[in-house]
Amino acid sequence: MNWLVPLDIGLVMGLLFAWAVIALALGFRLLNFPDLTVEGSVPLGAALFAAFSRAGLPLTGSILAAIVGGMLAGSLTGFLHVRFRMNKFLAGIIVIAMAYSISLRIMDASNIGLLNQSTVFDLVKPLDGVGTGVFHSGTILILLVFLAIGSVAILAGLSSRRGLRLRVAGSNPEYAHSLGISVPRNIVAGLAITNGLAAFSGVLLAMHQGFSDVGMGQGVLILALAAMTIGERLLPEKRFPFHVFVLVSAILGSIAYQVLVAYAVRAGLAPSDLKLATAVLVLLVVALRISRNGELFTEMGA
Amino acid sequence: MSLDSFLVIRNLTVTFSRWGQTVKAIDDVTLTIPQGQWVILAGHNGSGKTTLLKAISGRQLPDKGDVSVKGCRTTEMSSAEMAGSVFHVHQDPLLGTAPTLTIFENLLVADDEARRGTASRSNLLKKYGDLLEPLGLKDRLKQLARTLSGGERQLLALLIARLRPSVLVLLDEPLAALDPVKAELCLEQIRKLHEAGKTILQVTHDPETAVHNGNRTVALANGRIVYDELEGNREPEAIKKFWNLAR
Repeated sequence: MNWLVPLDIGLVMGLLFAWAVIALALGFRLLNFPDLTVEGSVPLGAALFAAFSRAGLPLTGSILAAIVGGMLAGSLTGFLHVRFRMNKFLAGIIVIAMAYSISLRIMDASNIGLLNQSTVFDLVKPLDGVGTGVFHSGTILILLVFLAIGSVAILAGLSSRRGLRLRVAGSNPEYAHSLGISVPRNIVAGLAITNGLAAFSGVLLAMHQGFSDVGMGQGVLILALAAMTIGERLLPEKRFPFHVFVLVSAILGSIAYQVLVAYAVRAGLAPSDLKLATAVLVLLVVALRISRNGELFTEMGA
Repeated sequence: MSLDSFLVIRNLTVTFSRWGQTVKAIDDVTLTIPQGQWVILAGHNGSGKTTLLKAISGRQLPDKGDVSVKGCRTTEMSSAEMAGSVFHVHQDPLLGTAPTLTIFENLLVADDEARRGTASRSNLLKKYGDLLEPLGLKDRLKQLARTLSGGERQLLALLIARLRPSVLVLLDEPLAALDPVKAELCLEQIRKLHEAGKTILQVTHDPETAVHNGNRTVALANGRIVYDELEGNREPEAIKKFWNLAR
């Protein structure tokens, strides 16, 4: 059954990182905003959760505080872009730098242990190892439940009248303007929501790993990009409304990528080579798409 | 405000200063358009037609003069008020719809009746189906707008204009990129906009379109009005003469 262990690791990690991948994909595909802030919101969420948990705030309060922190980071990126016409990448980089220092300041150290703190995984610990003895069934189950609830909420929001306006603002700002939809306001609100989701990914990671580290966001961007790209190849786009496609492909891609990575490491890939392997994987998937479409620059529009 | 002065443009001047040169795109234009009139705004490329539309819709601030719609100055309108009064259909069909939304969603987000929540989803589906049927798009409500052809997207943009509460519709060369069949379908949509009582300002650089459509033709050359005649008085030869003059 040892060959199933990477599948278990991949499933758990994929479900933990799925929120960050959703955040990147929603920003990238629905808001037309390649948002780098995700790399800062994940550790910021983890840091806020850890600090508030250690300070004695109840679990729900700590999670909410972390999500609000992520939302503030996202709205700041949006504000810098719409108010000062700052380049989207530059605005993200500036907020990542700010989030790093703020995370350090909040934790008052580069990392905080959470071993004695209660987490959502405490509820399902007894289910881990049930059945095959390999799978963390309880952990996977609760992560799936969170993701199902979150996905339904996100899809309901995006299908609502307000969500429709948000999608118009991202899809065609000129058209949005014709309809009296405020593009700047929707970009700021949209990035606040996506980075709130990224911060929740940080919270779950901190809970699962039992600590929060200021460096835990490093590499999130490339892994989220890889997961998004893989997910979009796995799912037939024409079968779904676009926002459903973006969400579901992000979740599928996150799981597929992490399972792939777990098996690759199992097969002997050095963890230090992971980022290089991920970058090559993204390039391969993009190259495959370009060779299929016959157009060289289709991926560069955003 | 009287019905005769629905859209009032007073001494409008728009200049562009670039690389040390100043160009008057609109030069002291004064024009009054009554409610419900379909005006063809004709002229060569660079004559100032698109700039005039942009100044009317508030996208281009004038150096001098002002524009009023229903007695309100456009520079004093909020973006929501402007969107409620003026709707702009662009020459580029890709600018008039949201590509990643379905046809249904594109119509829904623009529809004032849907915004007010007075119609059920099934009623809206029926309404949109009826609107799309003559265009051959009835069965494609769930299709993304980006999968439509340019002509189909322009038809959708004109349909959206019909659903908007805006009383003034600005059409910036809406037929320029279309084949004759799609152009005729679009013209039919413009006629329906007119029948619905909307005031239309349609830009064209095609003399035939300028002569045979609308209730009035206004020609621009070098940012100034050089021709302005009502339907019965329009003479194709006179319009063509101004065309040649402006070259």
